[in-house]
Amino acid sequence: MNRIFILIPLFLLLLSCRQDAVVVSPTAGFLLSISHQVDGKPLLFDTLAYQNAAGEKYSVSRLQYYLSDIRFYAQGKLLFYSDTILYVDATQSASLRWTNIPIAHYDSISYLIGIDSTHNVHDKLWPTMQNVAMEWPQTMGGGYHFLKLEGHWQDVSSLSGFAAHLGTNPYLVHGNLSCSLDARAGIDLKINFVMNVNEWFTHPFIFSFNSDGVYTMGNAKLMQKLAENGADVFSIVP
Amino acid sequence: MVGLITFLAGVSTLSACKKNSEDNPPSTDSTVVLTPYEIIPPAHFPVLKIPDDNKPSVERIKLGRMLYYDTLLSNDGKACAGCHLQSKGFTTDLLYQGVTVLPHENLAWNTNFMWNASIQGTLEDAMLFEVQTFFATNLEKVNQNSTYLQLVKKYFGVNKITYKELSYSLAQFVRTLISRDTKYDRFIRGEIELSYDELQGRNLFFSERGDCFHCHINPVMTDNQLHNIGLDSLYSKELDKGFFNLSGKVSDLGKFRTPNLRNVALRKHLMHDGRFGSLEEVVEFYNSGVHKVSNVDPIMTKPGKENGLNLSSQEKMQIVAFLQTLTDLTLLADTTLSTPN
Repeated sequence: MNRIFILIPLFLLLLSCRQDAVVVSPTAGFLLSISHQVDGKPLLFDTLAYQNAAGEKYSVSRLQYYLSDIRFYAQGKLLFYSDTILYVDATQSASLRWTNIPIAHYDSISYLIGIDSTHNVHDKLWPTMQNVAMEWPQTMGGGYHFLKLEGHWQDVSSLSGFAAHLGTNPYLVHGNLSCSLDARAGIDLKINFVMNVNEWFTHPFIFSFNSDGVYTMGNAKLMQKLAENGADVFSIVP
Repeated sequence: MVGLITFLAGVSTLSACKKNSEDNPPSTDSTVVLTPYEIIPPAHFPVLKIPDDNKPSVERIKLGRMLYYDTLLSNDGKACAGCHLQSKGFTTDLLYQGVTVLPHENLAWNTNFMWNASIQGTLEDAMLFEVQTFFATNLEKVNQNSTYLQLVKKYFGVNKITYKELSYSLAQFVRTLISRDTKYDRFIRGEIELSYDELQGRNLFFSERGDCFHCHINPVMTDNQLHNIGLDSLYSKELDKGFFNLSGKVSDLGKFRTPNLRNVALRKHLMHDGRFGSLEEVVEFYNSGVHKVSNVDPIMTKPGKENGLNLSSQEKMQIVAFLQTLTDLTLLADTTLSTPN
């Protein structure tokens, strides 16, 4: 008999919890797609068709990076945060989808190009072939490449290579974008992130292959320039 | 360690009905009973992607092993194992039509096959090429072999042997040819120490100075991608043109798939055409012989290294010492991978 007196309140407590759990706030969906351009033209690989701010002609043979820590704000208040670390290879399509976005008018988005220090540790990411290929050697500090941007440029008389690699915690790229996104219940909103590759070489520093150099890995000065330039490589295109 | 897992009753029952093409209907007894086999990747290796319709099983691996060592597949008395010798790390000292034979080890992680990536996709796709095109296997002859016919009926639930069953079985076996126990693997696992020179070589290999790691990624030792490493300034021979022969794009001239360096010290011929005969020659090529062609991989031409890596004799020796730690004697001696009784 005593057991029944104990069980009945417990049962009622469980019922009350269940009733609370079914109260769900309406949410919206975001579909983030990522594409790559050079000053408005679609990025074509191995084509010497682009010119950086230093006036140097170049092509791109590889563009791989991580996009992570994406946060959505409304009037300065963080309302949604994604813990996805997205590997992007510009030769393939890349997108993210969220279905649990709180209803609000979002006016800014922040993100990282690279991986935060908690995850930028040897063997931390799920070992796909892509992630293993992005590892930054342990003998050089470990973690992962944040960015591999490689190609060729027109030197005085011949084509030369360049490899803009970013990695290690001090050179994480912090990006911020203004936006105007009305997240409405039950509606999937499309967001197009477009990377302008030329921005890696443009602002705030004009990055010249000729005068700055063509190989950034292990070069603190060049990685710093690249990381600061990377802050505005993305824009949102309607 | 590759291990056999048994769960539930130790077997899984699969209906073979969906897997058969229309020209190879299921056998009367279409219930296929296979014992699942778990392939555990070596430490720090990428996860394996295996096609859903050919998950590893004890039976198909066994069948694949029989086929791998059987000359029945070819029309000239050769078996897969004739050019992929276990004692050589599943390759051979001989060139085939002027090209070195890429080793059959750790192919489970590949998506590009052959030096010029002429086969792309899964290991099943690669093995399909081997039987259908390379060997041009005579299916009539294979179907007359009652042992194989019975085994294929039993393990695939079909009435006759087609290229699919042959390639799937071979893929199952080749997927188990895994190098996981080199001296370097043991070092990674914390079981042993490397010698001073091996360690220095490893540090050079994974540094900007030696810069081998961008293509020979750790610990797989290949990135499975195509690169022009500056072997040639002119491409007078067709086989030197690499991926260009498939794509037709000038930017793909001289691009070849990064070879796996495991057991590289056992190889008599190195590079796609076997132009180098020793690891010392290869390291010297990277040190001083890279041609600065227009599409050479950007990684190959760094500032300050326009005239090569400028490694000292000692540093070159140390890199070779490290490469020798990639020999996997366990794989070479594994009797479960050798000629079946």
